[in-house]
Amino acid sequence: MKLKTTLAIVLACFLCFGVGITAVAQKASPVSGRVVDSAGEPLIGVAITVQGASTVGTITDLDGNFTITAPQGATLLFSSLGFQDTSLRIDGRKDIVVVMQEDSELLSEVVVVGYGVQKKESVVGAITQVKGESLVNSGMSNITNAIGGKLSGVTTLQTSGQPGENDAEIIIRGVSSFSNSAPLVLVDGVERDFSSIDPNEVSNISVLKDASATAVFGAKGANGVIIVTTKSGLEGKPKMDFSYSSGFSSPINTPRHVDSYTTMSLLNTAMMNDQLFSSMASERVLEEYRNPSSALNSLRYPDVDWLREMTRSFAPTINANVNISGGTDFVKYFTSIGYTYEGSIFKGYNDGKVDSGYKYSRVNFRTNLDFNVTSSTLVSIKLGGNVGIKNKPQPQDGDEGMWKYIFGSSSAKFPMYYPAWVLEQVPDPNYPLDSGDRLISEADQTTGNPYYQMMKGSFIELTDTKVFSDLIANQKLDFITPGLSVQAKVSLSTYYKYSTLRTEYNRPSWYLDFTRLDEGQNPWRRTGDTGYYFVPNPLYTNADNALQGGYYLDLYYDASVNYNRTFGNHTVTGLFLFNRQEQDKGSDFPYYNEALVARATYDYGHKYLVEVNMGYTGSERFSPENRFGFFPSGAIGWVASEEKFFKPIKKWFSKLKFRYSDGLVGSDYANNRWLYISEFSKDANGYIVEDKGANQFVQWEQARKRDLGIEMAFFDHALTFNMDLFDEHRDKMLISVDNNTPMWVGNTSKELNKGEIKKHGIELEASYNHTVNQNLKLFVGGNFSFNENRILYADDAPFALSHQRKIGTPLGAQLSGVYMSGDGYLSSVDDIHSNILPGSVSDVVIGDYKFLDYTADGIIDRDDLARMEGSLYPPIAYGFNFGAKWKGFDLNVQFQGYGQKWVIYDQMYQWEFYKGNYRTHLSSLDYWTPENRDATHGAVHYSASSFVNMSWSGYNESATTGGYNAKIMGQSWRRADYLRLKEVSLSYTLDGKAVKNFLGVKSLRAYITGNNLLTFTDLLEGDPESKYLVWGDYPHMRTIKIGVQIGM
Amino acid sequence: MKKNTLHIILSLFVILAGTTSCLKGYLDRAPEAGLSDSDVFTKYANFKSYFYSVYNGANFTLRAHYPMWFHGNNQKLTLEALTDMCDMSRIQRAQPGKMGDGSTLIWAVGYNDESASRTAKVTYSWKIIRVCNTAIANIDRIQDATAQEKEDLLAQAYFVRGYCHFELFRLYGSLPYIDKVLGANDEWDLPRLEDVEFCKRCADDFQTAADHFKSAALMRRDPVSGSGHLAATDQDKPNGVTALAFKGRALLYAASPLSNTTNDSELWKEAAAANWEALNQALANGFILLPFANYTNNFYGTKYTDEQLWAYTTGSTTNYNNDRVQAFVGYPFSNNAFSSAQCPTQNFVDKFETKNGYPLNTEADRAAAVAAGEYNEQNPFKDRDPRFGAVVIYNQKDLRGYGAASLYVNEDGSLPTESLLRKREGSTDGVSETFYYEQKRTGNLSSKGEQNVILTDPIIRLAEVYLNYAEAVNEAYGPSGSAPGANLTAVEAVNTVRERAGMPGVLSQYTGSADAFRDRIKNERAVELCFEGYHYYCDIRRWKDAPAIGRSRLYGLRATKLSGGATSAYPTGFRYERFALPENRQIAWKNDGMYYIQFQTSDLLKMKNYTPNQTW
Repeated sequence: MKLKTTLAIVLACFLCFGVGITAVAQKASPVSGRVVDSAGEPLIGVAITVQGASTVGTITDLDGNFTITAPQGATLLFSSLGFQDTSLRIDGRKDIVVVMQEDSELLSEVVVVGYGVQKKESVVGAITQVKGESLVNSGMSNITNAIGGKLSGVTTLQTSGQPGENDAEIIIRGVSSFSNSAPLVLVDGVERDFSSIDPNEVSNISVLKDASATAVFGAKGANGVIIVTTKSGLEGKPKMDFSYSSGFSSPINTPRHVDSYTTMSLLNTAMMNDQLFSSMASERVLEEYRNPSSALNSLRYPDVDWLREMTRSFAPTINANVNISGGTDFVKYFTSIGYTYEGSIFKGYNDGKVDSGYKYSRVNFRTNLDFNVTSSTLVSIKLGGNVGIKNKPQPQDGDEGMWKYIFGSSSAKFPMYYPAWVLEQVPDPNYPLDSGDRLISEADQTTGNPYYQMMKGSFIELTDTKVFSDLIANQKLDFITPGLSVQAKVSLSTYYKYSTLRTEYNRPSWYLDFTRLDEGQNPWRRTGDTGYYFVPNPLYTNADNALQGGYYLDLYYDASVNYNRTFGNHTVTGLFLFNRQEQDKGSDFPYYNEALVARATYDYGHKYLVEVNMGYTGSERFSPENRFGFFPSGAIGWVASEEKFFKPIKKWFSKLKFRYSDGLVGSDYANNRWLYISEFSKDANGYIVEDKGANQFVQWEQARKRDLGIEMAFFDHALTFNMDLFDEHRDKMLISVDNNTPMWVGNTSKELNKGEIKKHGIELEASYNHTVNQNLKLFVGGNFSFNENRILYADDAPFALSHQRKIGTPLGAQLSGVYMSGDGYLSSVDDIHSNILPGSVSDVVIGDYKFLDYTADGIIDRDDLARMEGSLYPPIAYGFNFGAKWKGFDLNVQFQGYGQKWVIYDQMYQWEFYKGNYRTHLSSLDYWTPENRDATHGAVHYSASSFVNMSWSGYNESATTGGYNAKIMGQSWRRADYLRLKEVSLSYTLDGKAVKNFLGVKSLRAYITGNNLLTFTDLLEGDPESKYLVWGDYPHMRTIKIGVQIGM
Repeated sequence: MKKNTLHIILSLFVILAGTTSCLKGYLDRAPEAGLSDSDVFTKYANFKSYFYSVYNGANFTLRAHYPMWFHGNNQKLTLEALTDMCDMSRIQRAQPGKMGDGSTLIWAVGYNDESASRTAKVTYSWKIIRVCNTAIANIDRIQDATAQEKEDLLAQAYFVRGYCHFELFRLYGSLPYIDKVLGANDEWDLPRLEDVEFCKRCADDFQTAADHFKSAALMRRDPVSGSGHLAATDQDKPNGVTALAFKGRALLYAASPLSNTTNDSELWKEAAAANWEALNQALANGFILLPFANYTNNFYGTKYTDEQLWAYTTGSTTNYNNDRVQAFVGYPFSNNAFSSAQCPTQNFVDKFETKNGYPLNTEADRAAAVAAGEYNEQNPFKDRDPRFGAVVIYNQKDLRGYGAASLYVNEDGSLPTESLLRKREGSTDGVSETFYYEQKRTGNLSSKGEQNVILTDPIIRLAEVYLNYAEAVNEAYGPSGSAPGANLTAVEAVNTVRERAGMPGVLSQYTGSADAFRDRIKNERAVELCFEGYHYYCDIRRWKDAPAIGRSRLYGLRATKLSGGATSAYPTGFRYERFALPENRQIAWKNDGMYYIQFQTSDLLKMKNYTPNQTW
């Protein structure tokens, strides 16, 4: 006990520059007792005061025990966050037991809003929240993924499972802008990157969706706002929490391997279709692929499943965290250190010095301190950050190259490597002393040997450091007028990304030429070998230009006046705030923003609510005359259930609240800076040229958002139901208008305020909690969101074909698609001659796609490209969870799903033998034959140089090679709805006296979590959460972890 | 309490400081963030660097309009190749265009912006016009230039603006005339002007330019004589005489049948006057017709000449394999498979009169010349207009490095060893099908001849001004008339040009009427200005002769070496036979859309009020 306190103090001191903490002195007293919750568990840190004597007070210890001096007949007041305030007359008792009732409403009583917090009851904006605890319990170490499915109206799309690069793309209420739909993300009120924050540090995440909630962010708030609030200490004894979990990840939904025999057989079919009879593989060769006649022939006619052979079944993953919190009336503290490790499923090369595996480890640290410097002055210091170290191989074509190789390399051309035994059968006269396995760097036309790329030893280690620090001073000015306070805040965020280690190490590689072997010559060739020497490149540490692009420094400061006072039934709050932000992004000239913010709220008896918000924000993008935008919003609320007439039904209809908001929010986002002036630069010959024409009238883009919300609760809040209906009309959107700029303007111009879209949607949330008995509680909850948008003005050329215009289509829609006509395929020779073909008759075979001549002009050309159904951003998102608590067991199951989701199913997925590569995918095996008329793929073709061997005339005006470089509805643009079992967690908690006596800890919780356990989708191969299935990505991961959490 | 007060004061101070400084430019662009508007336009050096990008910038230049060639993917072409003047040795980009497939030309002529080739006439022109308009609008902001320097810049800006508009007009027809910098709130959707109005707007800009050049004392850029003559550092920039000559050219186009649909003779008179003014000023400023011995200096071997009113030299680094010359020099001279030579047709060779001035254009002309003892079809290259030798490589012509040009077949149809008609084995190289090659632009530049020859684009030279004057005067006042105040008749003007080449005056039977003389003027222009840019291509269009030419047959002249040697019937030992070129090398006139080149579809889609040219 003493030790723990000391440890906590030492740790806290260490982390906050030696600020001392004095422990609370306790007094002996005649009255003692114990505070427990409704389940009989002791409550720690319950504040106890004597009514009418505010100077006398104490808190309960780890066992819920307290002692206090109080006069006989006094009333004790008990209060603790999450429980209803309880009072008890002592009535002369010496030993009392108090049972405090949990207050589910009070638990989420406070809602984080822009630049402040509000009581949940008086919130009139559309805001959803998720608590840190639920992120921790999710088992996921990246919080961008952990929030998935838990927040209505929030879409998260993770596109890669690569360690350290697995952030999800987040959008709120659907895609909303041509240029950038990313929401504003604030950590502790400041614009920051939140993806690498340890979930253990997070108190809650609040998502602001409507104009009422976001207007204060003015020209940055139009895409919604995510506010991450980190934990602060609570007054009470030091509390220490230690957790450790470890588990395994394995890839899911990877592209399916097609074995080399099938590949070569299909290749023959393709060769026949293209009349390349002399290039076909013979039956003997095919047979060798199926059943190699010798060990050597198994290398000559290999069958390599690259992904399977290069990966282990599992990648290790580890999470650990220790945090201490507590506080006195002078200081409250929360300090946390976390560690995360994500290992690689790949077997990289590792000689102790060079390590080409994929892995990521991260250390998070945070200390939040709140000092009551005087009774009216609160100074807070928050210091947090993380250091992530990411390791990855450096394949030839950059990061994506690896996936191109793994998912695109031929299964039939070369083995992974030449095993050592080959040298016994085929000696190498040039290197007679060489032994061991030999790497193969031989590449086919488009791709290299992925195993060589991984094992050659080229790698890079990137260290990514983020440090967030805040200094906040809050001064209450009650002596001027009660409820008034001022606050000032300075925040500094720094981001450094270094490559700390790298090498272009290339281990030697070989090629065994079987043709030369047949001819009796030395078949070995060492590739890239000029002087018969091999000198490995050195390992670089902190090499030149090691500072990566992601470096920046972000200074933010604000000052505000707050007012919050209740007079009887009237509660009034006010806020006036000024802030500035300066972002130094690497070599760019700093980005500047500033804003004035004001808010006023009025609450009459928790019944009638009014709120007015205003943001007045400036951006460097606009000229001095238009620099500041004014963004007002207003909202009203009516809590009908507080009305007298509601009383009769309130027993079962516990809550009915209506809220409505309307307002303007903006966005200043554009690809160019200083839109109001032309920039000049020197060209390669040293002459000055104007880069892009200025738009001197430019202003922010503005979104008018309306939101109607209905909140209902029944049976004492056991059943809740919320609904939000919203719409948005966004205009003056900053778009480039190159398609509308006639040639005689003579330059492209910076963005003009021309784009316009509209959007509407609905969000539903419901939850039901059922307490069967004291030991068994069940809960189920879910959310559903739907939104759709239409472009009202986009950069369509005035004479663009109507079916190729963006106007009237949703953002993210695919406009360069083609439809197939009839049953989709040329099914007979008659068909070939009676249909319009994309190429000449000689290019076409039965089973090829029959394209729709959209313009009915007798030719298939670029004018037949048309808008296709669906968008990259799914309009329907839903999630649901359920679970149970039984005695110490706790089960939680979370599903996440998307509807009307589409993916680009491109090249490697849809087109066989891409650029002549002996590789195909499962999807091309389902090709059309007279026996397989429901095929999802046309007749197979082989082309050594380009796309499939059918030219599409004039798809690209300056292209010299043709091919279907278009999205084919249902083929290369496929539906990818899915439902995913995102999380399952099961835990067992031991606490109470027995644990304490036996293990010396307050509580012990053992848990098992599983993520991405099941995916239900119709997509043939590849992960449906992706947007572009082109070359493949690091696969998504299924993770199972076992952990333990110890509370002290 | 004291502490509290301090806090309050501090906090309030922060708020106050913040709010008041709000408007004080916290969000202004910092000067160190790059070149600003005022950096560029207040300093003379920067202003010049901004404006001179139109000549030598890396991203777009005026050279797209200087005469000559286009980058048609892996084959270069010239616009003369779209006429009956020549055949391109390789059939790739030019031939489809010649036969009416305009789509192959859209990109090659107007949009090819690969930095090495710079023939994106459309996109570059509009960019340049924007630079000119910006320069004109900002000229008074320069703080550190002399009045003369400002006048020079202003003159050039007006000139270049007119030049780009006019060159676009020649190829694409009338357009909107852009005389200001189009900004975000300006009307972008502009209609095309009437042809005549458009040409006059060009002429106005040329006149304004000339006035400013005059104020800047830059009627020519180099001192007339003495040291530094023709070696001024800015010799590649236009001068006052250039501007006047271009005014004359623009008004000539305005008066021509394609634009002057009512045959308004006032327009011819204006053209005559403008060309007289140009001629007068050129002569007054020391421009001359070079003696014929130095005639080819206008095209190669020398950077600049006194005949060029404005020219651009590519310097002496040019060799026979570069992009630039591949459109002129055929494979046998370059060893480059991408080369495609201009091979004059017999139709064009017939335009060269006999040395005594007998025309050979038609069957009847030739019969008359034969009857007069002036011409022998079996010794066809003897006693011709001296310019013939400067332009055409014909059979047995003495060619440096090659001896007598081997442009013949043996009687058995085989080619001699050193034949210039032999293709590389198994290749698609093009060789001449007409039995002629062209050498006006490159002289003896070849793999065996001279290398590193200085090449110059003669953008406009004095001979053209004489011919422009002659044409306008002939239409306005007749062959023997002259412009008001001028002491030179149309016939005299033409004869001045002929005389320099050693040719006699136009025979009297052709100078009796404007109609009769018109044909000789056309012939003279074709001969004198051939292969210099696209004069001929534009001339036959503005005369509306192109449809008839497009419906004619193109011929070559087969030379067969006779095993029996020279006889009286075949005095050269070769038999010469006219033959029609193969069908795939003929010319066609599909429709009147072919008067102008088309814009790229994506550009047409943007222009609501613009009436597009008819599709070929």
